[in-house]
Amino acid sequence: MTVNTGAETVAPMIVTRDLKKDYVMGAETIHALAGVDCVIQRNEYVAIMGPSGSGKSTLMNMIGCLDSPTSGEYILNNQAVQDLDDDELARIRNRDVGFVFQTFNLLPRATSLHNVELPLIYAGVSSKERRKRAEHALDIVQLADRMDHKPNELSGGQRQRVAIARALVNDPSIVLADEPTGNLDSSTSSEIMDVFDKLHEAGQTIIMVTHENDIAAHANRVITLIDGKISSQTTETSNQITQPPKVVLEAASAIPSASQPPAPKSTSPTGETP
Amino acid sequence: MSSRLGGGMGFLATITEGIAVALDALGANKIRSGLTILGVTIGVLVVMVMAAVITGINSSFSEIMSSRGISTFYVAHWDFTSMMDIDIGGDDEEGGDFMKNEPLDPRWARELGRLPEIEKASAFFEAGGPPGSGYQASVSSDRVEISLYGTGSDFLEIDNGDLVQGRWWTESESERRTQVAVIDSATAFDLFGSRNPLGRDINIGRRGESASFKVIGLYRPPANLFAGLATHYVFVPFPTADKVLQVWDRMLNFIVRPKPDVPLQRALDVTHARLRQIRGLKPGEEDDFALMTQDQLVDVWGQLTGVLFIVMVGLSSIGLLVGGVGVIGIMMISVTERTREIGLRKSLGARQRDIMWQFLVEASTLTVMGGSAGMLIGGGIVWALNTFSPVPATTPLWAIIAALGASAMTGIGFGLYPASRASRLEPVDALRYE
Repeated sequence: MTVNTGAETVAPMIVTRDLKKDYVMGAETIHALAGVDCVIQRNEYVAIMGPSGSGKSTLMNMIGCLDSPTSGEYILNNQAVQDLDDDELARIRNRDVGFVFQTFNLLPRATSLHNVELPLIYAGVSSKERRKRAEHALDIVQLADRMDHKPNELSGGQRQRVAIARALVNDPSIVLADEPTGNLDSSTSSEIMDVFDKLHEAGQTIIMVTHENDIAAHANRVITLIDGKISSQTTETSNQITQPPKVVLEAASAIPSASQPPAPKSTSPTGETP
Repeated sequence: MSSRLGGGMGFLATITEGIAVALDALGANKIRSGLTILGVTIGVLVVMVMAAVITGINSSFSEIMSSRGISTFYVAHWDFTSMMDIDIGGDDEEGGDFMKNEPLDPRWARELGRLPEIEKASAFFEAGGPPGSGYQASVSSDRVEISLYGTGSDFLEIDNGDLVQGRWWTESESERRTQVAVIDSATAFDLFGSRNPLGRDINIGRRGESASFKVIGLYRPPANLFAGLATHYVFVPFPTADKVLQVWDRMLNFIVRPKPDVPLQRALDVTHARLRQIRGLKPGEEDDFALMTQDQLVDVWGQLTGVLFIVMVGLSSIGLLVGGVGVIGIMMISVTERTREIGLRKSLGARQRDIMWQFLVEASTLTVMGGSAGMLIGGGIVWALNTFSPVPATTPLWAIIAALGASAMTGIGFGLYPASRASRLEPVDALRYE
């Protein structure tokens, strides 16, 4: 079903047109998304911001195919997602999307390795191959030595890195992070943001929901939602993309555990619409 | 980047993953899981033990039957195989024959014995095992309930028991109505302790009336179930019993053995004709007696144990049902508790059927564990029965397979509803669930 566009294609990764989501609460209808148009290109690093109730999480869930729109169009990798059935959506969540949650959402009684293997199980990958790929993904987030630890034996930052490894393990088109540092202290936060930065440098498309400006500052572009609509978009010119996309995993595996101060970025607003 | 072929989890991967998750959940809630599967455990245990006992009893029964000679048949004044008809609430007339028909006359056995097709026909009466036979044996103040048999001098030829000491009575002793008795070791022990019983006198009788018999032999019952259930055998010559003990003639039967070269059906036919003649029945009149072959008795036995078995299956089904309801309850709780996990799994690419499958495997893991526990305990009980009681019990393979199958089906059947509820959760709602 999916069309592998390849890095040289100019087709955008994500296109939404007039995306709407209504929730009916008793007699009242809440317009969580009131018509969102946006385009996200391959290898973009996007932060979605907005006050609570602005619809940023709803948009995130739409993009991650966890929720379906009331109306409008959503095209992911040249594929019209709103037409897909349940199994196909599950397949997209499995192959094209890697989720990173605020609360990590690891299986508490499973080892790091098993947690990372989980998407591969649903992808029908053989156990030998699963182990190999899960080990590699844990290596990328520098947790190769914590493979047999269970979540309660890991620090918060380590747990989130396991979750990132899990998001990466199926080599997804996009990594979706929902307040990934929301449950972490500031030094651990910057450690996690370093991981995302490196992934982005290595060519990974990253979309992140946050309400913290300093976290959003890591992104190239910030989309701000208010009342279910995009109120503004900024583009950050970034000179960080120095690595070619092909070396994504190799580059990412060299993420330092200590934090580097993020390079200063200048912002310039652009009203980008499809 | 994203489009790889192949869909969904492999079947095996799902099962192993499912069982691992299920064992994990079980381990996390040991008491809860244990209580849940208790019903299944008990259900399986009951089926297992009953199947083992019934199988054991059946083989034991066939053994006795065949030891008495396949062609040997019985004559009674009523058809006691009808007593066991599975005709619950049916007509009472059948049982009524027992009182309605004239009892047999022991002299007729001799008449039958004179038929050219018949080798031997002897009258015997049997006042079944204690309690309830009404007969007692006593020596001075020691007294014991007995199973009293009035038999021919050749009883040992048709019984599988042994004479361990002394002798059986002779035909002439029998004809002279000598008051001699052969007793088993249980009776001997209770009445004489460690003293040698041979040559000593015992009193046999009921309701205060008794006659004195000289013990001439020590009998050992055949090693089978019935020997174990009914002890305290006392054998006396039939004519003696008929004369000096108040034998109820309705408890009288004949045991008939055809000559070796005579086909069973022919022997039955001539016996039947002769008995009608003796009874003075006109053509068209119904028989007021019955002939029963070994096959019929085995059939009746089969019916009886069959009914028992159906009752047991019914009882254990209730056990499984109770267990199954428990499974529904616990799985609903499990689904609720793990709503976030379900959401997470869906966000990682689990399809509805993967989640459904996971919870079904979990439910059946629960019940199969319960079933296995029941089988282990049941196996222990079967072993103990074999070792410490005379009840022969063998566990048939089909019972093990049926028990495991039934418990797995219970899990799947009762897990279906919670599992389908889990599988239909919206990922976004499930993830948000607190």
